[in-house]
Amino acid sequence: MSNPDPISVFRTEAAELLEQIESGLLDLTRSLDDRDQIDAVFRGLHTLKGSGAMFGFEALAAFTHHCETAFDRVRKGDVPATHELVSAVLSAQDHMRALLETPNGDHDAMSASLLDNLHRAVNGAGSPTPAVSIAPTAAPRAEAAGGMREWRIRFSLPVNAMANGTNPLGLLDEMRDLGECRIVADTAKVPDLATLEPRDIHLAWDVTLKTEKPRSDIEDVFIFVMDDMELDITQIAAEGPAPAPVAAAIPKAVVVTEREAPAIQAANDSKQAKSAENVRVPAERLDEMMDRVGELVIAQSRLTQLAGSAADLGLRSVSEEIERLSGELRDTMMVLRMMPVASLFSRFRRLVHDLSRETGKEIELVTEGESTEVDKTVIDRLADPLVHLVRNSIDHGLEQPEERIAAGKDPKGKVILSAHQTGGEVIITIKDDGRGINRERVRAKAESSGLIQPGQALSDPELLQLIFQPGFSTAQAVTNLSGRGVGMDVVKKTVEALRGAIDITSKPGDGSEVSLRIPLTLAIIEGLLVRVGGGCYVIPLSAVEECLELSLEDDLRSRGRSFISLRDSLVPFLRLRELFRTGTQPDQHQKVVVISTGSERVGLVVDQIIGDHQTVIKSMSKLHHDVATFSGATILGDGSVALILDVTHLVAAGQHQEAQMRAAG
Amino acid sequence: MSSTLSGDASLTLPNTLTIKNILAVQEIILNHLADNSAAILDIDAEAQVDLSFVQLVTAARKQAESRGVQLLLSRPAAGDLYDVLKRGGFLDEMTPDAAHFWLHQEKN
Repeated sequence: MSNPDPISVFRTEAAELLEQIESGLLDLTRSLDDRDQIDAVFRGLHTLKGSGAMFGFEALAAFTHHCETAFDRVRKGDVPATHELVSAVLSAQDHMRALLETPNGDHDAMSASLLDNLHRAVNGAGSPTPAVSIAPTAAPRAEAAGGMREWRIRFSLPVNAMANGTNPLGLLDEMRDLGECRIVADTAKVPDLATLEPRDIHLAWDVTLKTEKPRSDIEDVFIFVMDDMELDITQIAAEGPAPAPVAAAIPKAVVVTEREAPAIQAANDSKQAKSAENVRVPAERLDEMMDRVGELVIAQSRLTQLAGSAADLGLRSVSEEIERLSGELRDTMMVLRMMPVASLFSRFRRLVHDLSRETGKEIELVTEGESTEVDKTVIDRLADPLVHLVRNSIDHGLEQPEERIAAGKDPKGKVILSAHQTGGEVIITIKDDGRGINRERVRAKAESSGLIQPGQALSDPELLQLIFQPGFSTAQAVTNLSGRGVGMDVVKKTVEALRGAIDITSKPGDGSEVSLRIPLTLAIIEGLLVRVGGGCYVIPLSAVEECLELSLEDDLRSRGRSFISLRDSLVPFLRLRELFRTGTQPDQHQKVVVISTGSERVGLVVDQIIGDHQTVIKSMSKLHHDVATFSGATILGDGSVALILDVTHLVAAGQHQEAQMRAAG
Repeated sequence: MSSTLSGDASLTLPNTLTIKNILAVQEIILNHLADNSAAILDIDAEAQVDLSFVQLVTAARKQAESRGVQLLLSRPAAGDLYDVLKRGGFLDEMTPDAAHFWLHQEKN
């Protein structure tokens, strides 16, 4: 195995750091005076800057440096935390991702614009907009406003300031904005051409400034370059009623260097100790290992079959031992791939924050069941569909505050993102308390698109399912769950590609709920191996409720109706032999395997139940991609192929059959 | 002024004279100074200039002075170059030599 590329390791770690920073910033929006979060954001930015520079991501390091400096000022109580500042850093944080992904891209214009935004947010932090001073014990500004003073300011910038994106002319312009200014460049330290590193800056300036502004305003000009610069601000003379306090009059050389507070160091030490307990493994290695475990399970299955047909007790004993071990290995492997959905849900905090600002809607995001775990691949593939669904809920489901008030609702809309496990599935729901789906408009849209005939009778679930039809979710779509760009049909396809299912319910005026049923794992499942005619099939064991014998009497009695009575309730069943057109006669003692998804049940009539089977799922070929009855295939111990039944599809088919029977009376 | 120098002294600089290509500009001037006893920097009035270029020319002037090489501008600073000189504080308290070099003002 090759050693991991340090750059890609850094990228992974930086992406995690950015997530932590984002999370901290979003927490801050709720509580601007949360000192722990301010410290956490500062530490994250500091680490990102340092490690970025170490791995050659200079643009990222230089850009992050500005944000770090801004948060350092907040941390020290020099400027208050404001929503504007947090938003500016959130936007800057998005740009950091771009700098991380494409370090050689042309980011200059965006960097400059974002830094300008950040600068304004920092400088405007003292404005009347709601702000919270972070350090209640911080000393108040020494100067009172009012009274013209004359200052002498001598400064030289950090030698790499220009290379880091600082425009010294911009700083000088800001000084001019403070008052009457005379600026003289000092070229004494500029070396000759042959020895000059032309991207470094060797110039210095001597400025005489007459202003009514306090000293802090002069210092603020240099807020983003304070580290390592030399700044000497001296008051020359004061006029007017407010004599400068002694502290302000003392010439002060501000030479700021990197300092680590002991508390930060302790926190970092603690974090490092914690991370030392974990090992970072690339996901592709897990995938490789999963493939090998899958092959082992298939080989073990063959061994079990051979041992079963042999009379050798020793071989049987070893076979059983290997079966146990491979089962444990499979379970361990599964756990390694599982991740809490919290990692999926966390990204929606930012989405909701941004959409709330964009749409002017007050939104509360509630997440439930974040510790529920699913396969990493599921998490990766569900991200985009969930973004689409949450965006739709907010864009189109939730009403504007005034509309909600008029409807007697809380002006703050609610989006609930929840996850829970049932059997071998995870149910993820996106629920909102918005206006719900307008059925008339769905129908009108479907009729105008030719999806249904005008006046065609449809049940409510059938009507709602139209939303998932290709071509329905266009920019002009009129349902409150219609999308932009990616349509709901793509969401559905993505979920189905994960062997999952999507369902939607909606109450006018009360909101909508979209449920995604996703299998816990995509690689190996426990299956029930059955025979239908001459072929073997696998039914996912997690969906199996019970197995019954279908007596000849019941079979004859149910002809034409296909229902069995199960503890006083009628359950529809499907004869797989007929469904698969095996062309064989039924066995004498057929079996019914009752499967369910949620509260819906259906029986599957098979010829023989062979037994449980560890099923390594193999994808169907592209030729068979449209066969909805099967979700995949597996290789049996004797090398033959068994198809895996798609439980969701079969239950839906059974329920459809039941509905037709009931309609027929 | 340039009439006292040979035609080979003229050095036309690119239109972008900013930190993005300042290393290349440095190399152009250094190469020229290595082969010539004088350099007349021809800077287009439309050229894009930032502080790194003014610093570079300042360094070139120091080198020219120490090596007895003549360094001139083909025309008084204008456009971006003049703007950078002004905003950068090079025009206040300008020495006669600097005023002569940058603005072609006669020395008293």
